[in-house]
Amino acid sequence: MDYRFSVDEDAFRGEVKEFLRGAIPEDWDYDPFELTGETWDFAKEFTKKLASKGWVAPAWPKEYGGQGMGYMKQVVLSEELAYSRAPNTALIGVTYAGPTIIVYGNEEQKQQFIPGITSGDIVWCQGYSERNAGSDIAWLQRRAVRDGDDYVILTGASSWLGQTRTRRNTRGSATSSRQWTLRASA
Amino acid sequence: MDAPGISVRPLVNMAGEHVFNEIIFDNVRVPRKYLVGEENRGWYIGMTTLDFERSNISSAAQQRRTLEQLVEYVKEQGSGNKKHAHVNGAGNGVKPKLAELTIENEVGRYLSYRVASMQERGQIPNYESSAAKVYHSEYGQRLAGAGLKMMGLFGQLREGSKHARLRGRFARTYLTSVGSTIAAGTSEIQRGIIAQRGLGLSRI
Repeated sequence: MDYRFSVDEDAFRGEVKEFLRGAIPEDWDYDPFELTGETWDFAKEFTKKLASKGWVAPAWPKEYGGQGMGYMKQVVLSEELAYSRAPNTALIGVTYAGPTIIVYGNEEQKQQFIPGITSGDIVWCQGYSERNAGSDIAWLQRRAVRDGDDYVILTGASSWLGQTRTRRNTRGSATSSRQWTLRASA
Repeated sequence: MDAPGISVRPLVNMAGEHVFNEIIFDNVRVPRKYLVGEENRGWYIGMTTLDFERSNISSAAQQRRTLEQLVEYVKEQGSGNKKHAHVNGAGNGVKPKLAELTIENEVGRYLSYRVASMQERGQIPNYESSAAKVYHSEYGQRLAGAGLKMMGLFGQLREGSKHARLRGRFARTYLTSVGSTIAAGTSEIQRGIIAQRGLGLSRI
């Protein structure tokens, strides 16, 4: 058993650190939820830089806009980004929405949603719970009912949505009977 | 989000930050082509999504940075730098506390590595990510609380005060970290998952 990172992974860590030194001001110390106005704009720019390196989701297969990079390298990247408090606006797309669509989505959905995640263009939001369910989502009451080619999310229920300062331009959504995700193009 | 019938109401957290919103649905129509997976399987898809969320490899690294900032603050107070003029209980429990927080940060990192190594092998973690999640959330609270205490009255000041230290980080995270043991499944729910899926104990 060897718990150390490989020579290749360590070299990659060095490369990431160097990129971050150039891309983030030395005194940058903002947490993701603090970003507003100018700092949010900087975050969007930074994420595009990250995307140009192919580092938004480097472990994903090439067909999904990744680099097919080893998973542990993605771990290295995530660690360095987190340590430097890098403002990565693609995080919800890469961490929650993307893997779910890749595992459960059909080909058309993958073609439609995945490229916008890896390019850093689409900011995803996550909405899970409702007023009377709180953290216990087994209590969710909202229903979507099939009506012709649509599902109708019935009136009366509400949900909480994170990363919402992008809500102006949020569009589209993926839904099933009990879980849904929204994406924004801020 | 611009579909007819969607409205948005801000939810401001106890730290005064506007991060979340409540979304009200009024008979919102969603085209059928956006259904992910099969109809009526959303619960299971949702559970998978949460497992990805709970792996949370970033938490330990963010917390390490915060811990290092606290250690630097404590070091500088002994150097006569007026910018960092105060440590509460200096030399009197501060050092063992920082040592303990360092050990705990390492433990959290390895819990995350375990989840990552499972994902690398193509396995979908469930109770293992709950263990990492509950640990990171509770550690974040311990870290924020310890920092707030060590910095004395300075620790309670937010950004905007000329006496705030470290941009008021500890005053803010002391508040924001409260929700972390509720968000993405409370610590009680995580422990329930570990007991049932990990230890095979019955639900009741």
